[in-house]
Amino acid sequence: MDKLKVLVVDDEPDFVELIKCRLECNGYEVIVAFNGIDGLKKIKEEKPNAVLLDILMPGPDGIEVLQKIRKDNKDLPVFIVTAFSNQERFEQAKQYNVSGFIIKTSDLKQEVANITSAIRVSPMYKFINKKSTGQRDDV
Amino acid sequence: MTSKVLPHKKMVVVFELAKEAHASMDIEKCIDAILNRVSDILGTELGSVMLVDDKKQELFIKRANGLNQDIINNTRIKIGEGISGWVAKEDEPLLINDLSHDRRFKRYKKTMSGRYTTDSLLSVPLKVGKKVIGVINVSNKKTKRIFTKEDFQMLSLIAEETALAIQNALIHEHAKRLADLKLDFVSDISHELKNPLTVIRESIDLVLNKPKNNKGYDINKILNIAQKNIDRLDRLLESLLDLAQLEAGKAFINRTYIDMKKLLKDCVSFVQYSAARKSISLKTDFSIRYSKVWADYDRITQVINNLLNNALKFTPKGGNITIKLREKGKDIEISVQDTGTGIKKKDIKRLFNKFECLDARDKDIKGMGLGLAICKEIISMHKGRIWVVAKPGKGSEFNILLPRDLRGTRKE
Repeated sequence: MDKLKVLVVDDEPDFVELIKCRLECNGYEVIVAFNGIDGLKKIKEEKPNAVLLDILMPGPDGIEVLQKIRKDNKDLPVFIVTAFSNQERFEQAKQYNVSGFIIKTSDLKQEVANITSAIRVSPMYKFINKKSTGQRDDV
Repeated sequence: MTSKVLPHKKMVVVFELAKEAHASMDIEKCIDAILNRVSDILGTELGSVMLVDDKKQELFIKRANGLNQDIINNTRIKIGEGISGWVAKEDEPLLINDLSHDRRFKRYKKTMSGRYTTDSLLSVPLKVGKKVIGVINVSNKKTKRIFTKEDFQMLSLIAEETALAIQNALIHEHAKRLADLKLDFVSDISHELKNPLTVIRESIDLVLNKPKNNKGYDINKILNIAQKNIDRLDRLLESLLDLAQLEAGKAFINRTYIDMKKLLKDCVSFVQYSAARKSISLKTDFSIRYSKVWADYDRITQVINNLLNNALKFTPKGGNITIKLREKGKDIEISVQDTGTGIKKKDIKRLFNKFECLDARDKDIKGMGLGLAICKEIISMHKGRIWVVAKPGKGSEFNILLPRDLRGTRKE
């Protein structure tokens, strides 16, 4: 089976580098975008299996990008990345079917493990898995 | 004394009222208690407590009975103007029997927009020590009668006995607000400190527990990230300390006779390399005849470096930064102009505020750090002024006005 491809959209290069490393350790292929516009472009071109989306970015922010993603793609697993827990933003994001939240200041190892389990239960993953292995969707 | 002519029963009422007012630390509850009791005692429909805004030299309505919210929110009266303004300025209580025929005040009647059902009103200053902190006004007796001398004495006594309670509640309100601001500031700083800390922790973990099967793993890259974030923490702590010292008046400025043109040239040459790397062109326009001022060379350098670094950060590749120095009467004006992202109108006011500039919730002004709050402190220690003219997408222009000489004598 091919590696799952994850797109990280975040404007902080240090965080991108570290989460990329973590995800790669967990067997993902990682592509990155440093702003929302580039992120949307890469979703179209590279067709990632999941997106990690920073909520606070200059230009279009995470919520705006998420709205645009949901227009064409209802099932793509999207994880919202945020520097701190802001309830209001969480509620806003929840309306758009998000797979989970990643708090930047918490243990990234644990967060990546959570992503992995969330992706495994997402309908998209089942679909990919079925297609690539020919198995039933019993993941 | 006013109290002597009041019967014992009324005195007791006043002291009870005062006790109630003093017991309340909440400014609104305190004033409401006073106004409600006053309305009972004097039988009035309208009552208000106005407080002095020292900065603007105006009175505003803090709490009122029987007035609509619009009037409460929007009434501002200059000290010396109108009835309450007169009372505050002259520090004299006032009993008006017939406003329509009062030579001093009848002209204000039409501005009261029909709020009075009778032409009689009372207005008394609220004093703490020798200072007038506000005015208490009552009008519209339910009996439609005019206020008596006894009413006048009663309200004067109430004002005398409750002014200190109002003042205490005000101080308490102010202290509470400061505590809230401090909490916000501390929590913003914690977030700001936590970001680099997390990155450092994560980097170390990646180095200690070296991941297997990762082609992209580069230990140097990860250690560099850790180092960069340690520097970021260090800088943040240093500016925190610097700002705290400046604000507490613990930092001194060491004024010497400096050549501003030379200082600016030094600053420009310092950032030349970073600018060139971003293909930003640095221009100078020093159309000034005489560029010497009394100022602290290091501190002003710190301010200019901060402005230049911000300009570099927010100006995209290929942009321009212009540093100007000109004469403005007896003062000199320095400006740093860029072709960067500009600043939203709502953010301009917040830029120099340390309580706001750390706010990581707004990415557009994030990254300014405490720098501008520090600049503002330094410039105000030089008795100068710093301000910004900017529009989103149109670039920003930071201006500084510095007096040439604070010592009153001008040396060549």
